[in-house]
Amino acid sequence: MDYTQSVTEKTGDQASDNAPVLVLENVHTYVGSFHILQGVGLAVRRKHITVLLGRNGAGKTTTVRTIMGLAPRCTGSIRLAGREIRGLAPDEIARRGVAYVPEDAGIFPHLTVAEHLMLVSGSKGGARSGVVEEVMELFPDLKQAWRKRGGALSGGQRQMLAVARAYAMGAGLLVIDEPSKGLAPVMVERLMDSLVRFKNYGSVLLVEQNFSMASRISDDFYLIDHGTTISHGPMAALVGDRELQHRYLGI
Amino acid sequence: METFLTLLFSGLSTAALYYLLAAGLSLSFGLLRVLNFAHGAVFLWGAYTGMLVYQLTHSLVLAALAGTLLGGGLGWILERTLLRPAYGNMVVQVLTTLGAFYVLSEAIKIPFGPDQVGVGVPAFLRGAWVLGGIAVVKVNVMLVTVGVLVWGLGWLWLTRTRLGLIVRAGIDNPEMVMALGIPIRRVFTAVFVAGAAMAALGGVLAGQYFGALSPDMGLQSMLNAFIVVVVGGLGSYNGTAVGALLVGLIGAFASYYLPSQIVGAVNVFFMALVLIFRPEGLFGEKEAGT
Repeated sequence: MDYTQSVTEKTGDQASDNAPVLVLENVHTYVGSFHILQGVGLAVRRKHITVLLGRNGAGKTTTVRTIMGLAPRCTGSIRLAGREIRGLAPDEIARRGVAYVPEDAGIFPHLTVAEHLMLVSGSKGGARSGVVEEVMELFPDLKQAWRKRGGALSGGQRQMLAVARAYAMGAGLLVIDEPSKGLAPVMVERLMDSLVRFKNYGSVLLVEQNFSMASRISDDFYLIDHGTTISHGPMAALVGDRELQHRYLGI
Repeated sequence: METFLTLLFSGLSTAALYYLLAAGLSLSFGLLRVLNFAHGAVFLWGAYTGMLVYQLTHSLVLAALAGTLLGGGLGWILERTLLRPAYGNMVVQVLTTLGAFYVLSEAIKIPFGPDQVGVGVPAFLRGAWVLGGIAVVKVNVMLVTVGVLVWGLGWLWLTRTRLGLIVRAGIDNPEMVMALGIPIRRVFTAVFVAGAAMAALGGVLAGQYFGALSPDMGLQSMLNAFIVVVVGGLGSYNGTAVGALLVGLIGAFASYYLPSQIVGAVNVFFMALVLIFRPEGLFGEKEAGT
């Protein structure tokens, strides 16, 4: 099956409410002489959580970095709300409503929790009055750590701050890379709740190796291996496909 | 006791000079990851511009303003023409800024000649006050005052303004700042220009401090600035201030108590000692993976 063709068929009318918010078609990414992504395609539906799954080294992180304009060289098509963003600078992509949370949460060690939110509240979409107070109400754990520096936060607090920052940015799409890595189960639960709540505001592209977490909160899945999309569909279908889980996720 | 206090104050004034020179260098490296070897030339051009404007106007304020503006302008030109094309390529940065240093250092000889030139000092700054048997040199007081003021204003800017917040975030992780939608490249230019302006102001004040200028001051000043930045920690604003204090004070006491032949090596030896125990500098951050 030509996977990229099936992605194109899904995009349909870009102006409709059912149109995907993000579409990748036949994306190839090169890092030096290495051909890392060899034809990745995916679509993130509006107000859905889409998970990108795969083994270590499959190309998941490279995919999200490519979306954010942080990859050195890539070809193919990356469309956000119907508009091509491949080739744009990372700050331009972010200003178009994409909030990116890298694997280490991208927290600044020397800035306080308050300063993290102030940094983005002057950015696109964040000029709403009281936006920081609104966000604090959604994240009571962070309210207590208001004056703490990023370097003093726990792993779970950093991930929560990164998600809170996405809220404060007013982003329509949250792209988040392996947020549950190294977190205690109770923090994973809280993180999952915050991602599910984000669906009320926008869409989520989640990269995860924690299949248990991903399967509980995701609506759709894309499975990549060796830099190529292998399979995709509703999460419920993957939950029922033990053979696919075993072959590509080692479960 | 009087000797100790005199040396202490001399060291503080030298520290103020070093701080003005080094602060911009440290921030430029912390934010831009840029090694700017032309920094000493900006200091030199600031010094000569201040000297000339003072000669023409007899106003130290105008001299300082002219030197600072010229330094900022020179910094803008260097950033746009040499550094911007080479962001991320440290070898090219080193080679091009070193080349610019030599060109600018030689070019200063065209209008001013290769020999030492005297610098006019305003009457109110000549001489010293005598307080309890200690000579408090007026120029030193001015240097320390300006140094503290500039440090304080810089601290307020970094901690109380949005641009300062962006700079602090960028020193931690410039890629993440971009990913938050902030066009950090524009901030690069502003920080670089501010650092160059501070170095040029340091040059104007160095003219007042030494009473004379020569074209080779650029090299010596650059070496001292790098020692301060390395000791304090690259990218650390307060680290640079502490580094300047230590290097200034050590230099002052070494000049008095040690033979002249080895005084020049003392600060280098001190830097080596710091690096043995803290390779990232006193207030620097370890790079990931080190």
